[in-house]
Amino acid sequence: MNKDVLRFFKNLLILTVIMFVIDRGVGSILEYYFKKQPMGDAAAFAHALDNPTEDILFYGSSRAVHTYDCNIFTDSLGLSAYNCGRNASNILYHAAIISAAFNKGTPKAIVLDISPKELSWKSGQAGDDVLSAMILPYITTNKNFEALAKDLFPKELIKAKISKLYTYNSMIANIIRNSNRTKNDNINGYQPLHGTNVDEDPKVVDAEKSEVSAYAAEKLEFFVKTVTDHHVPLIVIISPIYALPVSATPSMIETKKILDKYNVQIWDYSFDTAFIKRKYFYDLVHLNAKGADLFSSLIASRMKKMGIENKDTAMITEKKTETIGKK
Amino acid sequence: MVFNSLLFVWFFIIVTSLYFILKHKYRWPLLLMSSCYFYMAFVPIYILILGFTVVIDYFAGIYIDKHQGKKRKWFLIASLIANIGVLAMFKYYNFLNDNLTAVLGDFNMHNPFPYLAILLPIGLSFHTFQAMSYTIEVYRGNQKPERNFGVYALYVMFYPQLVAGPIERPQNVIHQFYEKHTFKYEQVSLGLKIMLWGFFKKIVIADRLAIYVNAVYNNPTHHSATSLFIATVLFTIQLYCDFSGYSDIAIGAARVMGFKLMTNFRRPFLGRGFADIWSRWHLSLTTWFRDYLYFPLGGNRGGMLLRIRNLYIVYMISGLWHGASWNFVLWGFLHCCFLVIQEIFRKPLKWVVKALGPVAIFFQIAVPFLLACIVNVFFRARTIEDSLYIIKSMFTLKGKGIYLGEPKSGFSYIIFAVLVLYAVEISQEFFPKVKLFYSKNVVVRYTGYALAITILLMIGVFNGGQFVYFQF
Repeated sequence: MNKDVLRFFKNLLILTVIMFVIDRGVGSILEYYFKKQPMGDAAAFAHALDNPTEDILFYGSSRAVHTYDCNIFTDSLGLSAYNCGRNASNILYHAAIISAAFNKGTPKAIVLDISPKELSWKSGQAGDDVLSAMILPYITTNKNFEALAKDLFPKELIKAKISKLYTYNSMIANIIRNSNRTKNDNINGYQPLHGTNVDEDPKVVDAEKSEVSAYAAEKLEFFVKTVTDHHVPLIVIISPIYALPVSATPSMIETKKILDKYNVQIWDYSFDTAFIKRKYFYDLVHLNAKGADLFSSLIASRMKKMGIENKDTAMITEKKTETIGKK
Repeated sequence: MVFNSLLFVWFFIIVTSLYFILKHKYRWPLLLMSSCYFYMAFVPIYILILGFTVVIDYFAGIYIDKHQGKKRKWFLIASLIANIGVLAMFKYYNFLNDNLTAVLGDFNMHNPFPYLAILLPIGLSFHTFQAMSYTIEVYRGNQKPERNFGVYALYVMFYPQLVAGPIERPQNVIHQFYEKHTFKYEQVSLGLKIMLWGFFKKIVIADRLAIYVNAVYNNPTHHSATSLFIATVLFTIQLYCDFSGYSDIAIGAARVMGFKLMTNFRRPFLGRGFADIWSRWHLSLTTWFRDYLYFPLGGNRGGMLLRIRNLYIVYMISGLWHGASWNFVLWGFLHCCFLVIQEIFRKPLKWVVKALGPVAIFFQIAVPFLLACIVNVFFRARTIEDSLYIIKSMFTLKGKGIYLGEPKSGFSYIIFAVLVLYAVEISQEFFPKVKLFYSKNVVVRYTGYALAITILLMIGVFNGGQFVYFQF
């Protein structure tokens, strides 16, 4: 073989070995700090994955993260609560983490917040890379995520298995930020948004016409079945959107079909006129803290009516009321 | 096929390996077939358009050489009409048609020509210009006509520079297809280093900046003057890194196989003045316009006024080359205005530079750069109205606050990426002895490679973002 070819392959081998060592070394440091983050998205996510034991668990995208204030539910129902939602996630992701909810006990209720186009997601669309970035750090420790990555991002799965650095791509700034933060803006998974960026009247949104993804529908059914098989009350909610009402989307029609099959109700507040006010919205699809307070209180009282509450606390409250009445 | 894809990595390894394994006589067919595959990975049917211009120009070259006098000229004109015709049909038809509709509408008349829903073939302007340079050079007697149809087709279709240049000249490339390139370590290593820096510019810098720029420019009314200004400056850096990154990958990929393509960028943001910036930006296109349009128009001859006229013609056509919209024409026009102003005030500017002393270099670099950034708003914004809105918002200090992207931590990558770019370019420009990839010290060199690859993996954007210049 030509001397130059030998020299090339020798140097290529040296560089590969150096890169392998750096990749595993730096990658492991990143992995350590990523999983030890005391606060932020990843910390909340780690809790959601690590067998949460709270009584009420919320699942959903950023619309759930910024909407369900766990403290309001605890105060109102006397039950502990955790918001397992995650920014930019969807039903595929929720289905992958739902089984963790039953590993250490049985929650008293599970709330799933969906969007009117929840089932229209398809691999290759915008948001694909966000979802893959979310999942990749966990593919070695979570079989559900590995299976999901295999189904949706097989190439990403291979890349992540080859390179640890790639697995934690674009995460270093967040890791540093979260490790040095003193103020936690994440309250049991709930992240309030303050103020409003909405400066116009609600408009008719372009209704999502895209077809329903069979894969996403299958994942929704898996989520619903997992919860109902454990005889846990499941509440599916479409939280408010700052827009004028539109007719049901194909995704909504399919969602209702699946929920009907398991006798699960859907609480549709998407175009509830009580909420379509600028002061309640941070942007067109997210409630601000004020709107979230109001909406959480409304959902909590509706859950109470369903009998989802801490009976002991409820009895104490009733007794207190009686005592005050006697006095 | 885009360079920043896994498919290209495999393609490159296989084609380059086969290139060195095969006997010399089989190499050009290999490269031609690979180039066809590379192009057909986008929209297969458009290979026919490329085939059409290849056939026309191949025969035009032979007939131009065969004939003398006026006939020679007619063959050249026929070839140019065919090439420009393809460009006009696929790139400018709807633009011209829209304008015709608007003009006829003013007279309450109906435009009889239909709107065509045609997709612009990728890199059409690049390979058309490269094909035209061949017939012009044959006509001028600088290049003998290529008799081997396959080699000529390869000249137009050579995959590294097929879709986004550099726009080559036949004298520089065709003879290289006949040269026997052996595997030389230095050559291969140099090519890979150029490619690595190209990937870095594209994946770490351009695509990272694009996230911010797109978020702001897609909703300009939602952003403050500061955010619009940041996005405007970042867009110019993005454009440079995107395009020069592509060029570097192309030049590097060719160099690995022993082919030397022309330099396309020479640190334009460190140019002192507009003329200097343009002498460092997209050299293969600017020299194309200089050789085939500016000089034939008279160039610098005939006095100041004629020179200015020639400059305006060239820059406005150059603008139109970039895109079929008045935005681009205006972009070219404004760049030319600054060039002309600088030319007119050359003497007073010299006095200012002298008076400022060593500080002058900062202003010589920063002022034209910032002005170029503002003109580039017309390049990026969707319409002239959007462009004017953005410029007005920036100058009237509209709104408060700074958008830092989503998530906000992403902005730190942007700052880091821009700092790395400037650190590298400043050291190349002012401290050429400081070297990383090209250091003689093996430890420094390998540290450079490892650092670049580590940063690439850690903060690169791997969403397979398209190259901005593909649309041209």
